[in-house]
Amino acid sequence: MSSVLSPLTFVFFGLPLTVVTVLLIAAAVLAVRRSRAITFDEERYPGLAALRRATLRARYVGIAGSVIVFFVVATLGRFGQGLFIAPAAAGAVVISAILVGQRLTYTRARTEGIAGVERREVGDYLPARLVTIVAALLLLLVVVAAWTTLVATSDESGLARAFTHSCTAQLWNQTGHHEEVHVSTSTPFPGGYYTAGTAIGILAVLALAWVGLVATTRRPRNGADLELVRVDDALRRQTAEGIVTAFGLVVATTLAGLCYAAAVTVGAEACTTAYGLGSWALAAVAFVSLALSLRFAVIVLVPGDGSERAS
Amino acid sequence: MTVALRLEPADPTPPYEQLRRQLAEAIESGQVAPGTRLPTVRQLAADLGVAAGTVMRAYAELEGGGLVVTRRGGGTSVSASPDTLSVAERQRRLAELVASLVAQARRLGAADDEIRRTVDRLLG
Repeated sequence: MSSVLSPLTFVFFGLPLTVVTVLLIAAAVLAVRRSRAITFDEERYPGLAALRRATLRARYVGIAGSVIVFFVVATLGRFGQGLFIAPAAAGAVVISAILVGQRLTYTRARTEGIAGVERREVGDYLPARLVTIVAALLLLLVVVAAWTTLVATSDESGLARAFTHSCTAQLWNQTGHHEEVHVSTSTPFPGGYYTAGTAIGILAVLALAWVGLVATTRRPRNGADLELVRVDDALRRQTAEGIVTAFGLVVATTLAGLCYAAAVTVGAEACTTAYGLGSWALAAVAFVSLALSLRFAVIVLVPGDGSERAS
Repeated sequence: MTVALRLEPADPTPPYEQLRRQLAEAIESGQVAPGTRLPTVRQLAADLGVAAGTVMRAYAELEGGGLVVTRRGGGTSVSASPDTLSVAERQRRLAELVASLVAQARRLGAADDEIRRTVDRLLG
């Protein structure tokens, strides 16, 4: 037995293992870099301290709940239908928890009769670069889901979850050369059977995220003290970042799953270059989405100090 | 820097008037620059813990005085320049200023003729 990895073994086992290791190291580095707490005089601003504790606690309760919800929803439906709705359900739990945590402490950092002449808007607290990445992913998800929905065919049960390959074979016999078209159907493919539920789930989480961002912006402020404004703004940015990232995690994991399923099914019978290239392109998108999912997961788990507009 | 607003519960002045006065002072002193968008009614009411109607009334009074303008969908912002003041509002505020000046001059012991002559001299 050779002690050196053969090229084939490296491609199938060594490469994925290397990629996963590199991704996990990158996630750990990102987690360490982000693990800075928002520092301020908690005795001077007890309301903000209570607000911070409550929102962080709610976020972690939401994360724990989302894991349970993910696995419960994933088992629903036939032929793995629940898997395509599970990320949205899990994301909805995280965002709802953040919303509830904030609602419970809505007026804790407020003294009636004190305010500042300032106009707060949702855009003031959005992490610009994250929003751009999430928007691009959402657009990609819409394009891929629209394509898979349009090209999907029905399986034996009549459900839109199959992909039909059309392969042409060149044959020579006694009468000469002729072509024979061979048609085969592969499942599972993310057709309308899966994408309808995904679309509803994503739209629902998007609406919930918007409600969360508006609530974060509208939370009352306790005056115009510079230090208070700094800390309060940091807490709002932290919450907004959590909401945007939770939505990004929903989009990225859904896109990764959708592309992976499509790549495997399209590539199952790669009799033409188009099928081969399409399968590899979908696999590449799935990989990038998976890497971004990991990044988003770190941001959700490690809230950071809210000092950066873009993470 | 954000200008602070503070409603005093012990002050017999109605909250909307306290708010109007403080905002007017901030605008007139230049602490809040022309064109600055004021907080939305809902936001300011939530921050202060008062009814939205209180803030709406204060904004309406400021708008009547020409200090702010409200555009549909654009919110309320500080008027671009004093030119936007109505004639009646300008006369009202000028009268307030002169009355304050006269009161202070009298406290100094100046006679009305002396005050008038001083003002004429300053006006050139």
